[in-house]
Amino acid sequence: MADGLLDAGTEPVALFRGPAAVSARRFALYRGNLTANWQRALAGAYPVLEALVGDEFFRALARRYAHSHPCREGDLNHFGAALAAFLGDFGGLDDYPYMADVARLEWALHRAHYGSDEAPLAPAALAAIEPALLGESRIALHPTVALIASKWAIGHIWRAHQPAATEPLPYELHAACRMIVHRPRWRAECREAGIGEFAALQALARGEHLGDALERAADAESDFDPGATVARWLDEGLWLTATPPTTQGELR
Amino acid sequence: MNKRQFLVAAAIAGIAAAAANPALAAKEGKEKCFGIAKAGANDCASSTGAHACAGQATKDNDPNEWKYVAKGTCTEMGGSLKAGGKG
Repeated sequence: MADGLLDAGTEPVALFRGPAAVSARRFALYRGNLTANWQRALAGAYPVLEALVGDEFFRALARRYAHSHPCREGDLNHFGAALAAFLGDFGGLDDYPYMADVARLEWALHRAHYGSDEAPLAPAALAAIEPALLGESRIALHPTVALIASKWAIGHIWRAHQPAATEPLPYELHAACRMIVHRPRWRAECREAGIGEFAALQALARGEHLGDALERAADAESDFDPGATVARWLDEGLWLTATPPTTQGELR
Repeated sequence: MNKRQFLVAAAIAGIAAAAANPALAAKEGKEKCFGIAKAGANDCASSTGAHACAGQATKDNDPNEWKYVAKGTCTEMGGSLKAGGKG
């Protein structure tokens, strides 16, 4: 039965009473519904990708993806996690090499939308750390934060496809782009990051000390402003906890 | 003062500025928020009200499955895929 839902021509008409042709036609409706459900589930997570490739291509893509990554759980919001990798292997979009990176960005936003609602690190808690220890402290990023780097202008592409978009579609697509995904309150957002702050956040995500991360930022970007950048990160709630070197516990 | 110390000191100044920012304190707590559900994320009842369940009207379209032609906005963008050039 499940195979019949996946592939046309393998309808299990013997399972049903009545004329085989009628059963097959009715069964096809179920199969159509299943495809439509996949398409809607993926379109919920990848609206920009859907606009980029068009409705027909997207529906076919959803079918192909569902065949190679069958949905194993009841929650369709998890369906689609591997779509970016699937696009890379798939080959049908060789003329549009930015698609997989757009998909990575959209999945990060989707995950941030459904991410856990934990209170970000309060500036006051950070200010309570002994200043001499701050440089050796480790910073955990908030679980909704994702860092997406691409050699394509995925930030521009994404913004041009938002419902209230004022930016035109980009023409120059080969432009390196670093995106920070986060969810400051309820709505998942993304913004383009400077090369320095991106390097610092990546270093923090790897577990490097704050002082080392800031040095990387200054190395990557000569006019990196640590004060303004850290204040902005705190304002955006990108940090979850800070762990100074002498204590075992985390400060929130 | 070496470079690292300078960077950390500047970061501390930023932390102090953020801690003194009253706008952050106002972010504590939760408030009601409308209009943030993703479009169409309410699975079964149709967002357009046209039908009761997702995909109900969509019949099988296997015969013309898999069109290799992407017809969306990517074709409008055309665009340059080469660094610096108009390829």
